[in-house]
Amino acid sequence: MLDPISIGVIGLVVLFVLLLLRMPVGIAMIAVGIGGTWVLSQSVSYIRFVPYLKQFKTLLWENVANYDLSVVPLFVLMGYVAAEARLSTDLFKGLEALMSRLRGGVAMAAVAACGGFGAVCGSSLATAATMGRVSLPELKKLGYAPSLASGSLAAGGTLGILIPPSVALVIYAIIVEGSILRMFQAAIVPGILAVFGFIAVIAIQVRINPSLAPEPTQMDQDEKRRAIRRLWPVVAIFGAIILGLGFGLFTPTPAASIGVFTITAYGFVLRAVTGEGLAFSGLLTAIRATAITSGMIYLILFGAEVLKGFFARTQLPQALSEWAATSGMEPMMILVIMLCIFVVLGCFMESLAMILVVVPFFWPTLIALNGGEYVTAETAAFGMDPDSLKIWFGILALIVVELGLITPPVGLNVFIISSLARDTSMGTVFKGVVPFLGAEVVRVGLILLIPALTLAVPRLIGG
Amino acid sequence: MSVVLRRLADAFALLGGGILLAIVAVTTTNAFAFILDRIAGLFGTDVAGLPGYEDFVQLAISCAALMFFPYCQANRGHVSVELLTNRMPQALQRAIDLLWLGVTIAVALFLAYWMIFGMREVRSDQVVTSVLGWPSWPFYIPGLLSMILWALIAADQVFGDAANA
Amino acid sequence: QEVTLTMHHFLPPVAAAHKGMLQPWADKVIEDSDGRIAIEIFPSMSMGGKPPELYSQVRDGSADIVWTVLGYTPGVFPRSEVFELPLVHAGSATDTTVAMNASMDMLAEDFDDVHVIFLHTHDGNVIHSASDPITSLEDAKGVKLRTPSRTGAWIIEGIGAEPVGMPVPALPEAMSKGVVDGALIPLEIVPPLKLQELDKSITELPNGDRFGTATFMVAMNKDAYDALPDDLKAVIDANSGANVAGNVGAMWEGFEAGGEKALEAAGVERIVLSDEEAAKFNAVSEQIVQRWIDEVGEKGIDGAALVENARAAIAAANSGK
Ligand code: NA
Ligand code: NA
Repeated sequence: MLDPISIGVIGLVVLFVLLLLRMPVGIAMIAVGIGGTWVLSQSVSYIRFVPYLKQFKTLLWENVANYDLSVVPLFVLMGYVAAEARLSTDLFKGLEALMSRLRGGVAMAAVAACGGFGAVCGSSLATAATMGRVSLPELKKLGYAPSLASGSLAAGGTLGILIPPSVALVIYAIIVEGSILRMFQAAIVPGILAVFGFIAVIAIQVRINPSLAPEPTQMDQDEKRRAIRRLWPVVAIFGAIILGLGFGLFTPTPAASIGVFTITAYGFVLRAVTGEGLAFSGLLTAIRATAITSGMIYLILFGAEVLKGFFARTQLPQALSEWAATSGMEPMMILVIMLCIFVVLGCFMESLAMILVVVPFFWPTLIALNGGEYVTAETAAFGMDPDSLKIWFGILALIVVELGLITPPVGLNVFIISSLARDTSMGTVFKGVVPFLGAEVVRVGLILLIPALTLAVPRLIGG
Repeated sequence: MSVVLRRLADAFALLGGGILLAIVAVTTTNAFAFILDRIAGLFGTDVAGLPGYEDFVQLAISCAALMFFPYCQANRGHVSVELLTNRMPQALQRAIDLLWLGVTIAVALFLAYWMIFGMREVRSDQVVTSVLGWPSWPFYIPGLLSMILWALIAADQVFGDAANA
Repeated sequence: QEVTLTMHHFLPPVAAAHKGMLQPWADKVIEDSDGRIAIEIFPSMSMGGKPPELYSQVRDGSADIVWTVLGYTPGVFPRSEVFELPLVHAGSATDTTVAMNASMDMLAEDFDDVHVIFLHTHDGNVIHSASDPITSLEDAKGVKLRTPSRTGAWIIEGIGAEPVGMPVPALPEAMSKGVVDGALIPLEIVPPLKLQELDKSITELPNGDRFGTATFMVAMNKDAYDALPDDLKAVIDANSGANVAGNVGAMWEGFEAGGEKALEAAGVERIVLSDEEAAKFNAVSEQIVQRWIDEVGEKGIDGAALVENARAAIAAANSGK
């Protein structure tokens, strides 16, 4: 008879094998959760399988009937409506008008537009897809090297996940029972750092190899004025959502609702006035896209709930955190190892699934390493109280998770960009992404060494 | 059959989206009431929000979330990891896909099966929401139907993915 | 050991209820059984599900023992709800807890499907305000308060305030954003939520009386209990109902001290309503009690008798001290 902890370890291995065999992530989590509990019930007398199954009477419904989680589909919808209302185009065109006089300026505008679009879109993939569709043709027309164009967009897409609102941050906050708002506030500085880091990467690249970007050309004055005029409403709406969220005028669900309402209303008005903007069919398209993304997220969330029940019964998470707390290893070292595990897993796993599978193991371990739930900043191993640790680790984890979106062999953003730019091979996109990865490593290092980069904003606003 | 199922999944998704828009409407109204209340507070009066709106959001989102599942399946939207399988022979890939479709059908039917008991139990227990006092059990019905439709869509995919309806 | 029992609940292991009540109870049972019973505690809903599901989990046996709030499943325990009403529960967790466990005959039909180990309440709700102090019924008009329960929402409506439903962990954020002006909750919850940093004042009734309370139970799966040999059943019974009620109630009164200290240290104003204003609030509460009697009457339950018996049991518990 196996002991529960070994069964837990085997369950974890089986889960990864099933995932590698392309089993849908949510289904794999449910299957391993139920199957694992059956195995457990065979060797542990106090775990009974049939009563366990009866949990499923209400488990699914109670899992989705959750007020806090309602922000997830709302943020997803907000992003798709903004794309359908062509706010993404307005954003890119406006920034292009402002930056086109620099060498590489249009690529910079594309990255900045990704950052801006991240303010209404909760997902990296949606950001990469939307902004890629808008700006790749333009970059190609102007004669940008395919590697720079596609690399900028694949990297820029990752901004969707970090710049608030972010679905991944919402889910992280719910797992660790932290404040969604504080997570969003903490992400602001790292997000801005990323935008500037990426722009710097483009500037350096074209300085070293000018053939990557064409000579800057003068835009037609009328077109330029018109583009800038259309930029302001977008900046105002996106800015209001970010500030409203960031400064806590509203809690997340109302903020997301107001965002959807405002963008939809603006899109309809724009349509009525100019003939562009949001059509009713566009709204339906946005809803269908929301259904696919939200359906996927909710299934993985439910899978995580089922898996949690199994792993808790194996006592594996407790055993891991006890081991880490007594191993005598440097806490900082363990944190870096955890981040490396995220990067490696990110090479083949979807980011949300990764957060849901891995964070429940890492978080209790970190808390134990730091000195427990009630430790004060002065005596804590990481020099911060548990609430700050929660925020800091969440931002770090999110950044390394998003790295996985642009690293080989499986970089979902890279897939999306290479499918949009049909004449650019995946290899070219990966090559174009490498310099941006360099900027990311620097950023992770900075955030790791200077926790204030993440913690200062929530402290300032939240007091 | 395929076409009917896909239309049905599409209808579920759009209905779920409609529910989402209803949440947007209610929440936005409530938020404006909150702003007005802040302004009115300066003059010593109050503007009431919609009482129990959190209850409403909770019940509404439970329907919308599950109604997205069949459409997600119809579009192969439930993510999976693409790493090893791309290099496998075509026939093996198809076999694995069929296997996972089978598991998906089993999971969907399993959830539907238990949800029936859940709904009956919640009904006989007379469970209501805390502020509005609405009974919870009717809100199991859209989810239950969605699980069945999800299973049907996956079953249909066993015979090959239909072209977009 | 012969038997291992699983215990599932919704609070983290650092919570007073875990450290101060559940863990000591489990340790006592293990000790009394000479180690023949082992108890594995799963805190923080780690076995899966949301807090409202704890009741069906113990009923079905996916957990052997649970600790849960009766109000999480409004409508399931219609009779026991009487003990959370204002003017029934006065202001003593001990009195009401002793009374509840002494009234099991009257409440039995609520618990047909589980083996109750003990029932208890917390010490009672006070009004926490993060905005203007509430010194009169007039002050409560239009104030948005997080409601603790179904009947708590009635009280809030009754005093002219606005009930808002939300999970407890969301409260600090909602209070700091002004989404709610305050809450109707007890004092023991203050330190874990750091409410002392948000509260400007708290309001309670004279003589330590409170605005109703919440009812909880520790319950065991029936089959799991029935499967125990008689001598182990006796160990559980010795740690059940009236045998532990006084202790458990006193624990919950004790949990208040942490909150009181935190509020005092933070300089939060503690308002005790004047007799005149208290009478106005109590008039509202009397209507709530009547509303409750009328409502359970529709289910064929004699609410008036329940109220009368509950009050008598609480009075008896009080004089028996
Ligand atoms: Na975002
Ligand atoms: Na990757």
